[in-house]
Amino acid sequence: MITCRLVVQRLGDLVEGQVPSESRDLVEGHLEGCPSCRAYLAGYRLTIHLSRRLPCPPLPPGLAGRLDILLREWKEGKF
Amino acid sequence: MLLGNEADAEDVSGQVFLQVVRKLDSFRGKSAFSTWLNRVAVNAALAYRKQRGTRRRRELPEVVEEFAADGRHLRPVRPVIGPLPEILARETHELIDSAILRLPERYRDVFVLADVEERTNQEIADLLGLSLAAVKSRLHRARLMMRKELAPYFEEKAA
Repeated sequence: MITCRLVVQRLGDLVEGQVPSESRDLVEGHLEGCPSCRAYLAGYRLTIHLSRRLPCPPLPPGLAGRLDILLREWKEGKF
Repeated sequence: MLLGNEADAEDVSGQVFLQVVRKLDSFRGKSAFSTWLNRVAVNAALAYRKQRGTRRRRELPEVVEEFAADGRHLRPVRPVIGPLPEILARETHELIDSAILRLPERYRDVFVLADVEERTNQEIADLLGLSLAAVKSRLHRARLMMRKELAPYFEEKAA
């Protein structure tokens, strides 16, 4: 018998496919019969999914210019 | 994102550039240049943050999931609304960014590297000098905190 508490503790392994085979059936069996754990897992997966879709932030204003200057100074052997 | 604001990121970017130039000789080609560069950048960000000290920001609370004595959820968990485009329309990137920035630093570092930059747990362990078990534990706790923070925006409303 596996509880919701144990399923939530194993979510990290579950989304990474690392639940050991001996307990995988127990976890999947629990999920099949537990709407709350299915919803919790869906929210957990969605959180990861949304975070992975964050756009790469643009360079802060002025940074590209500063890096250009540093690069030029480096090429000129200033450091 | 490890630092939490643009001005600090700009400061560190300049420092990283200088360090790369100075330490280029120490790059031995045993790992990919991008891996080495990432290590220099993460180290610079962590060192900068340590030097700067912790800024007070309202952090997300540690998640203590509530379960009944028999281990079941204390309250039913509401289903996620769908489909995804609807969620994305409702969610703004700022909302997710803001939640990430409010993660306590020890969790934010791992979360950003894993779930924003998509680094492997082993890479994160190497970058941060943590055990694999510590990375997995912090990542799980960070995800629980993020899930709880974002849940009001993606769960079906109570009837």
